[in-house]
Amino acid sequence: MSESEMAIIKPEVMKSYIWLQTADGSIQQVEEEVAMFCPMICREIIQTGMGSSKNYAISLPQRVNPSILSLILDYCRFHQVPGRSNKERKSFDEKFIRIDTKRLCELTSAADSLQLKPLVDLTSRALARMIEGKTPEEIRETFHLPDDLTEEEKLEPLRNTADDPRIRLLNRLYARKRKELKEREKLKNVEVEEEHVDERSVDDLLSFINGGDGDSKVPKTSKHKKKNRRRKDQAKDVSSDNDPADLSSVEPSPSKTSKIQEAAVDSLAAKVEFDDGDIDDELDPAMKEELDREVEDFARRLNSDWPERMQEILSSGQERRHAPISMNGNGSLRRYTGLERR
Amino acid sequence: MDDILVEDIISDLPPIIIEHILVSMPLRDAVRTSILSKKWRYKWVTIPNLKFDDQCIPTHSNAELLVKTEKFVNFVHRSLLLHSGPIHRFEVSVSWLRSCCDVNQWILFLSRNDIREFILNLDFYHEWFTVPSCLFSFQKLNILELHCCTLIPPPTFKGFHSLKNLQLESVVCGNETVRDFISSCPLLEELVLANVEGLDFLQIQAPNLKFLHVDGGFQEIVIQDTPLLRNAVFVFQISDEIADFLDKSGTCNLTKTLNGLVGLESLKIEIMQFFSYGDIPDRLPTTYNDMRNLELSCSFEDEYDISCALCLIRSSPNLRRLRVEDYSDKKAAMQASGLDFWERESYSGCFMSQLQFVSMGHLLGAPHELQFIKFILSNSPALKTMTITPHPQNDRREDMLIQLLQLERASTQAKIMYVKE
Repeated sequence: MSESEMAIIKPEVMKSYIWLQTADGSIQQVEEEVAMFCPMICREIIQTGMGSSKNYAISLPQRVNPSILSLILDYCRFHQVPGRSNKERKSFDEKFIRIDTKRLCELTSAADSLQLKPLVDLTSRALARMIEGKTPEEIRETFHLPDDLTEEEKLEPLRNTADDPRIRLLNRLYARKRKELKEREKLKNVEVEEEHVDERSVDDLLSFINGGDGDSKVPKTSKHKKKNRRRKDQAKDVSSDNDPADLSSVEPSPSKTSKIQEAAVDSLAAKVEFDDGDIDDELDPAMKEELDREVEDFARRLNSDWPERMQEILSSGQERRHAPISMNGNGSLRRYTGLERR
Repeated sequence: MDDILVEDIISDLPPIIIEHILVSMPLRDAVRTSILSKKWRYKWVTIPNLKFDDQCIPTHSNAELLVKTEKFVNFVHRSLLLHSGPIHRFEVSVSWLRSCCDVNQWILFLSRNDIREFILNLDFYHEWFTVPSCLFSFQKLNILELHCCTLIPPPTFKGFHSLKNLQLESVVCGNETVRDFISSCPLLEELVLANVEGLDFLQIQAPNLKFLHVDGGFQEIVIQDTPLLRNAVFVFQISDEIADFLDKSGTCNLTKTLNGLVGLESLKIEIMQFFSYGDIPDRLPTTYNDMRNLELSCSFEDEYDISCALCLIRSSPNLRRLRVEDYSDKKAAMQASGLDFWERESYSGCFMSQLQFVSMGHLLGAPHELQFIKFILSNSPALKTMTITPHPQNDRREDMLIQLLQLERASTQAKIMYVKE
């Protein structure tokens, strides 16, 4: 075989080599013991007998390109030597991962495809260190992540991806509702109820939301109550307001509902990054809270029973009767099932 | 940065790698990744390992305990609700948690969740809580670690069939409960029992046990049927009561506890007093052919502890490393009783043919210590290093060193290293 021929030609080089082919077609040879350090290559050699010559080079997975391959082989070459102390290995590892982030990600991916677990662990931990403790902006910059979440999505707690169409509808309604509230503000028209009597279908829903504004005593009182509680809460939560990990538990009290919105998972991140005021700073804060609450309520109802809801909405203007109930936090608890409540 | 042309380098890595990355950072940071971008929104919710500790909430050191507790509990609840998929590892490690009812709920939640590793490391300010019975229905449990709680398995509990690693620290649990618990976990490989209140008679029967660590006020320890045990650590707390009991019982614990552990490779005993009552045999019925490492804490006030140490050494023909620490009272050690023991000893064969490294610690310069070192030096032809560390209260270091230097050494390469503080 070619190996024995090689041995005759170069007697001082008794090593055997393995031939590897990367996805781009280029072939290189590497010392056998170094290549065998990779479980995937090792298996290929043992099971299929490939790799012993140039024509029978082992094809490496697509994620391994030549420059990354040479990095991996450096790693294998160092670590396959049995006599090294733990200290030496650690120090090598620390220097090894000081490469730019893009290469580090490629290296992780390639190591995973070659099933080189120690290297996967090493690189994953290095990437984890680049993420932990950093602000979202810093992380986005490091990894070139797009800042593509909409403001509403950042507000919202996480939902099932299957609900996306509803979220989109929700977002549209949200925006529309905001616009309408703003207009209403300007007009300073308390008598909104009459306006919406004629509206149907989706607008019907909005009507119930709007109907509550200047309507019965219940909403008004709750609005006042809300205000008071909010002030108290603000005083109490001064410390927690400033900290990102304020995930309030779900409670029926209306004032806390907006906190739920705020305290979505994302508020675990620097709260500095996201402040309610940015979106709705032209609205009266109490109105804004109500808006948030209504929208959330609406979303919940959407999620709970879409077809039936649609029927109800389309068939009647009875939504307003539901208004007091949904205004009151306890009522919305009643109609709510499952873990969607955030 | 030219963001337009440079593409995202990390979000498209295989999910298993992303999971690996998220699991390698504190949970709070992992959860925060959900607002990085659309792709990252749901990446954290499927991570299988959840560790809730002090890092989960920003710590204001002056924050009231109640506020801290509330925030922490909220964080746990929210994370559990948002999480999706199996949870394999669940750990709670905080030292200031006050309420127990939340912990019970979490355990109930996990019992529906295929949990494999459960670690509860709390310090309830002396308000220990009773582990709810739903914990005993964790069918797939591999690792269980409990601190500061009371363990009362329900009568229907048949054991954890997959449990490999059990650690109970500062737990209240009775003798029979512990015995039955251990024997009902056939795959148990690692067992740690530390400060288990109510446990004074320990019975272990674990066919797969490889690592054992016990720490507490035991009156009796019986280990049966553990052929795979490789590494054992015994830390004894000998109160006056226990000393009386041991004295009265008359039998030597060496045979009762340590016999039959044929695979033992490493043994650490702190303090030897537990074994030094009754008739101390010359050597044990079992020979520890695999024993490489012995770490003992002996009293050099009299010959009893030393006798036990020599018994163990004789039963370990392939011993390579020996470490002995003196825990004697200084006065009593200097007044050594039973020195004639050494005259008898010099006739008993004890050939430590493989012994290479010896370390003597906390030496007071007492007569028994010197005799012991003399014995070791003259019976270890392969000795490479003997390290001597004096006790801080040792006031006759120079005399001790002079005496040591005069001792005969069987090994020509033996070096004596003295450690100055």
